[in-house]
Amino acid sequence: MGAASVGFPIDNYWPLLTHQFLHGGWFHIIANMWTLWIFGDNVEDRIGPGRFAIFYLLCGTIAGSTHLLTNPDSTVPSVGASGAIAGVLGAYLLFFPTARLVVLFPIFFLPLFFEVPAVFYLLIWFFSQLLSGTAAVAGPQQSGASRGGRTSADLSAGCFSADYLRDEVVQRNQMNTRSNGRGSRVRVEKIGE
Amino acid sequence: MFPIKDSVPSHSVPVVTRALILINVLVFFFELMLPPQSVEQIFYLFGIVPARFTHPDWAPPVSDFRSTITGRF
Repeated sequence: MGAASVGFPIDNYWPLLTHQFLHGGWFHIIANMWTLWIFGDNVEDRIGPGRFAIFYLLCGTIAGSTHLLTNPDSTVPSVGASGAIAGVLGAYLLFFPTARLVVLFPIFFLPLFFEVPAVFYLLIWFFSQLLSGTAAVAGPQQSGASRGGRTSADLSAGCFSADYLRDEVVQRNQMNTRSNGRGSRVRVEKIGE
Repeated sequence: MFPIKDSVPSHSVPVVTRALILINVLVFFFELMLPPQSVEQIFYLFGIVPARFTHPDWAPPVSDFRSTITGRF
């Protein structure tokens, strides 16, 4: 009896994409979507909507692939946008390293507001992924270690991709500056050559 | 600790961010309308089940598959 007999399409890698859009519970989806709402807009603003869409899906796919390769024997479905969002957070951290956040810290029934560096919150986010397993794990059977593998992989994937994007953005900005502000000077130099 | 807003202003409408959130929420509400067994099947089919790729011979016997479904809910 093979995997196909229970309805698993064998040579179908679409789950690497589709798993990003499934969530296992209210907390899982609210935490993910709220994080995306807060941090996604700035990264999208910085790199443009088209590239943001590709970047998001790519990070989710890389995270899913990493999970697949680091837990090859797992028979538990893994779902969630956490991998893609980890990539967005990695990009946010590189683009806006000095950003600050207003956070709500409820103590009993008293809502307290604090301002903290975004880095501080992002670190807590990653550690909470390691510990509590909001990291896109559908089943309770998943071991903590595998979550760790997945989250750190997400983080590095996000940082690497964001690093690449940042280089591109910097280059593009420099090109813009050249054509706008100092465009004539560059042209003169070229003509002079 | 719950983030309320960040200090970085955005100069454009985040269309893709909003679209992604909308898609995720719609899919989740769709899940909520289905019986738990169907949601479980969707997770197995559209989620990443590593063994399915790495062990093509693997499949939980149908009876086991059913018991994991019922055992979890």
